[in-house]
Amino acid sequence: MSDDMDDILQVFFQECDDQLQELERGLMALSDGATEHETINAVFRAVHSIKGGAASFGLENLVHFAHVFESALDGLRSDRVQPTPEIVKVFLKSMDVLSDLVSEARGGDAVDSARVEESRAELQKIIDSDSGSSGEATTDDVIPTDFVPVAFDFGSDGFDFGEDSASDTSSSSSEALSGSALVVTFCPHDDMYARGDDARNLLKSLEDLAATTPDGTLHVTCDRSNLPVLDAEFNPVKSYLSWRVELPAEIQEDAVHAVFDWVSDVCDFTVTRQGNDPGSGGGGSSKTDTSTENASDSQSNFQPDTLPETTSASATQQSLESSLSAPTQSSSVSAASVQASAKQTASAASQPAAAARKPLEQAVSIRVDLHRIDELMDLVGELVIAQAALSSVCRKDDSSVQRELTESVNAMQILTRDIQDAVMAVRAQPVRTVFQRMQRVVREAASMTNKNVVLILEGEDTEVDRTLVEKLTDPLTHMLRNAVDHGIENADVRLAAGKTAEGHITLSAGHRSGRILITVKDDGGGINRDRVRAVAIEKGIITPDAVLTEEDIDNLLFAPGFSTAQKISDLSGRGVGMDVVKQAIMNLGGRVTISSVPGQGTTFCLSLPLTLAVLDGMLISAGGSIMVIPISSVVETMLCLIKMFIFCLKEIMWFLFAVIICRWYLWQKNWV
Amino acid sequence: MVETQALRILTVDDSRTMQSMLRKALEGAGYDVIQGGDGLEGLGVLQNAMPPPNAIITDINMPRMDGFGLIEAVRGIDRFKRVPILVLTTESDPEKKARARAAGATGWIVKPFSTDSLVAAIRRVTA
Repeated sequence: MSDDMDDILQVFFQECDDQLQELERGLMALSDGATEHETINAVFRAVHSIKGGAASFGLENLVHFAHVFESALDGLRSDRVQPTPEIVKVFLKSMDVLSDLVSEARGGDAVDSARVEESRAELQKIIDSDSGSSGEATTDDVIPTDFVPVAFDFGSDGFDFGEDSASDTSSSSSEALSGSALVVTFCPHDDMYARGDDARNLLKSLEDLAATTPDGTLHVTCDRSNLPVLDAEFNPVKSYLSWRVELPAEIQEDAVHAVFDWVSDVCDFTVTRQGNDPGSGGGGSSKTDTSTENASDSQSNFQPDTLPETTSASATQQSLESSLSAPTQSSSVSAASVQASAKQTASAASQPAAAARKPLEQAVSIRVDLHRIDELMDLVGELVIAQAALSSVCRKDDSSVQRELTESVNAMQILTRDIQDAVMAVRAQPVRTVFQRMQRVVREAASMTNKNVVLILEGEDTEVDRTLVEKLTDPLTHMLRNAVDHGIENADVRLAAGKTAEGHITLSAGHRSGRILITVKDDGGGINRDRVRAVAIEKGIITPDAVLTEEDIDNLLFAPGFSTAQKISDLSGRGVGMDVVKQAIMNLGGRVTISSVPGQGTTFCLSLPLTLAVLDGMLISAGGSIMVIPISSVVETMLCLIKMFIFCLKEIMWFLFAVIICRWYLWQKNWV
Repeated sequence: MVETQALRILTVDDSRTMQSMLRKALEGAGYDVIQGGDGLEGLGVLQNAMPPPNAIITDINMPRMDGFGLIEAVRGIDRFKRVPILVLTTESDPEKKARARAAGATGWIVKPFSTDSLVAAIRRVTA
C-alpha cells in the first residue's frame, strides 16, 4: 500500500474513533429513551460510514459485521423495529465488537471470532424479526467482496436501474454481426438536460469509444428537422435535436449500451448493425423495440406536435433511419461541429443565471495536528518567561524612561497572558471523550461480575487539557472497574439493604478553584474498614498494634500491593491496585482523596491541574540563588515582621544552639 | 485517452476517509477538487466557489442535509440547473437510485470505486 493510502488509512481509523463515539452517544441516548429520528440516523450513519470506509480498504471482517449491524439498524430507522432495552443492549454489545474489529484492523489484538459470531447472530435475530426488511442482510452480493476492480463499469450490474431491459438483451447479436458498422441513433428528452447530462457528453463518449479502434473515426449526423423557427414556438429548455452515429465495426454493442446506461430513462436510443434487416427478428431489432418502448414509458412531458419523431416511439429502426437520413433538413457534420451545436442547444436551454442566493454557512472547525499546537504552546511559554524577565528588569530602576517602559511591559503582560489562555483553550477538550469510553468499561465490568450497574455521567462538557484527557483514561478505567467489582454489592445484598438492585456509579467533572475535580462515586457498601485493616496487617503493610484513624484506614487502599478482593477476579485483582492510580494521578500533578460511608458508598475525588503545559511558579531567592517553586506546591506564604521573630525567639535560640552543637560535634570528629 | 483538463470537481461527503480518497484520486488525475462535509456545507461551498465546479460528486447519507436534499437544492438554483451530479452509493437499493434520479442526479458511482472508474465517470459527464 502506498504512503498515500497509508495516510488515508490513518484518516479512516481516526474517523472510526469519531464514529464509534458518535455511535455510543446515540445508543446511550436511545437506551435513555430518546426516539428522535436524528439520533437514530446518526447511529445508522456511523455504522454506515465505517462500513463504507472499510470496504475501500478491503477490511472484510469489518465490512461483514458492519453490514449486518447496519441492516439491523435499518429496521430501527424505518420504524419497523422498536428500540426496546433488549434490542439496545444487543446494539451496545455489537458496538463493542465493532470497536474491537476496528482495533483489530488497526493491528491490535485479534477479536475472538465466537464473540463476533454471537453478536452477529443476535443482530440477525433482530433482522429476522423485522418483517419489513428485505432479508438480504447476510447475502454477500451487497457486500463488495472484491474491492479493487472496476465497480464502476458503466454496463455492469451495479448500474442497473429499474427495469432497464434495454441493455440486457444485447449481447447475443454482437458477435454474429460484428462485420458491419454499428449505427447508433439517439434522441434525448428534455429531462436528460435537466439532470445535468448533455448530448455532447454522449457524443464525446462515443468518440472515445471509436478512438480505441484502428479506424478511429465516427460519422455523426444531426437531425434538426424538429427544430422550430426562432419564434414564440421555440422553447429553449426543450430538446429538439437527435443524432445518428456510425461507429467502426469493431465496437461491441455492449460498450455502446454502457455509454447510454445513465440516460436509458431519459433518452431514446437504438443500436443496430448496419445492413442487418430489423424485421428479421435478430437480436438487434428486438433490442431496438425494447429500448424505444421503455423510453416512451418513462417520458412524461413530451409534446407530440413539436417532436413528431420521438413520439412515434414504437417506430422501428427503419423508420427512424429514414427520417434521419431524409435529405430535407439533416446534414452530415463532423463530431466537432456537432459538439458545437449541442453546446448551443445546451446554453440556449439554460436560463439566464438568477442573482446568487445568500451564501450558506461554511465550515466552522478545522483539524489541526496536535504537534503544531504543542509548538505554539511552547512558544507562548517562552514568551511568558521572556516577558516576566523583562518586567523584573524594569522594576530595578525608576527613571522616567523606565516608568514608560514598565507601562508597556505591563500591557504586554496582559497580552501574553491572553495569548496563553487562548492557546490553552485550543488544547482544551471536553472530558466527554474519555467519560464515554467509561460506559463501555462499566458495561463490561458489570457483565463479567453479573451485576447490574448504571454509570451516570455529569459535567462531561468540562474542558481540560488534551494531554490530561488522554492520561486520565487508564486511572479512571481502573477506578471504575474497582467500583463495579468491589464497590457495588451483589443484587441480593443490595435488595436486603433496601437499595435498588441496580447499582449506580456517578462519574462527574467540574472546575474548582483553578483545578479540575473528578469524582467517582458509587452507592455500594462502602469500605469495610475492619477487613481493610486485617488485610493490611496480613500483608505487613501496618503492624498489628498501629493506631489508625478511619481516614488512615481508607488511605491504606492506596498502599502498594494492597488488594482486598476475596477471590482474584478477572477484573481488578491483578495485583496492581489503587496505588497505581494514585501514582498516575500524582504524576499529573494531582491528588486523590477517598471518603466512604459504610453501607452508603465510596467517593474518590481526583483533583488535577488545568493544564500540564504551563506551571505557574513562585520565585524565591535564598543564599544568593534564585529558585522557582511550582505554585501548586506552595501551601502558604507569609509576610514576616521583626516582632514575629521576637515572638519565636526562644525557638530560634534553641535552633541555633542545636546547630552549634552539631557543628562542634562534627568538628570534633574531623568530619568537617 | 485524451488528457484531462483542469476541471473543478466538488465532492460532498461526511466521511473524511472518502473525502481523502476522492481528493487523492481526482487530484492525481489532474482535477481541481473542492470539498464540503455535508449537504449544507457542500451547498455553501458550491455557491461561493470561484470558478463554479464542473461536476459534483455527493454521498447520500449525510447529517444535516443528505444527498437527495443537496441535489434538489442544487437543481433549484438556476445557474446550477445543468451541472452534472454523480451520486456515491453503496446502496444496491433501486428505490434509492430512483429517488436520486428523480431529484436530478446525472449518474452513480458505486463504492468502493477504483481511480480509473472514478475518472471515467467524471469524463463521461464533463466532455
